Amino acid sequence: MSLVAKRYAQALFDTAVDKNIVDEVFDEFSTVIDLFKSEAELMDLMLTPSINNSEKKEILNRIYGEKSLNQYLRNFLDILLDRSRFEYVLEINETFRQLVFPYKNTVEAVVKTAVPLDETLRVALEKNLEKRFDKKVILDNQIDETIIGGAVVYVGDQIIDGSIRNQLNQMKTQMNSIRL
Amino acid sequence: METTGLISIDARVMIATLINFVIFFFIVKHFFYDAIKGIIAKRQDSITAEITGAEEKNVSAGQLKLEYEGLLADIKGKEREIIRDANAEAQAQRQAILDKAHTEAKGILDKANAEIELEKSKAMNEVKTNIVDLSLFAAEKIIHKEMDPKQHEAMILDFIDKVGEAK
Repeated sequence: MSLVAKRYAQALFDTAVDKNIVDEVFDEFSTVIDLFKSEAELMDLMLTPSINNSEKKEILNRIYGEKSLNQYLRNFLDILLDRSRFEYVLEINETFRQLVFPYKNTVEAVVKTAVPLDETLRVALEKNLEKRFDKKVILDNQIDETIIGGAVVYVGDQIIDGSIRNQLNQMKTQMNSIRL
Repeated sequence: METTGLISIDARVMIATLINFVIFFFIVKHFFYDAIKGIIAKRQDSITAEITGAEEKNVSAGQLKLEYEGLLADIKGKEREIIRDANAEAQAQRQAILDKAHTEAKGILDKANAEIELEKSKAMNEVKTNIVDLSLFAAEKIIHKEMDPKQHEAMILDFIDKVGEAK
């Protein structure tokens, strides 16, 4: 993470804590970032030097209008534009998340499954992961057919592998270790 | 004068001859005896010296012979020793060469056996790996085909339970 991203993320986090709007800012910032990630052209537009800041702010205003963003977050994004730091927005968001998670005693987890998790299973898994790690878990379900069946959970640097792929790999290791 | 054939004895002639002989004897004795005696003595000394020299040479030759015989015996002894040593050394070298050859042959044989074992093991492992890969590939295909939504759900539920159990 760059120093710029760390500095801006820390400033946003401090303000959010101070104003007691951490959850709100976290959710809304994530929504905006998801939008920029999914709309690559929009991000390109925001980084195009030939478009002036007032036009870029107008674009943001439309988004703010649709998403009804928190005022502090809106101002923060405007400042990034004014100071020509918008290129760091994704990095700032990532750093901000890393600051928020310990503050909220939360951890991000990715669960890979061969078929999409339905809501019941997702909630059950979140609950059990929270019990296991003694933290609130934000679960992201990713589809990976190569695991064949079961699930693999990634939490930080920990991996909980309950996939058929893993069982097959273990079987392969055992079979290969048999001496002839 | 009395004659009796071809030979006759005349006393005067006999006396004259005797006197001649005596005169001749004294003349020879007076003038030549010492010289002849000297010559004979010289000759005698010379012969005696030659005999002594010959005897000395003989003794010397005998000594030389003894010396040479001694030397020859020494040389023969040394020669035998050298031959014995050479034989012993040749024997030792032969044994060393034989031992080395045996060791090398054994080494080559051991290495060849080890290589054969290794190759055999490699081949077996390769076959085993192929069998394992094929078996697991087949198992994967069958599982893929057999997995239905219910089985997926059951597996995930099982996983969720295990996540909740272990800490």
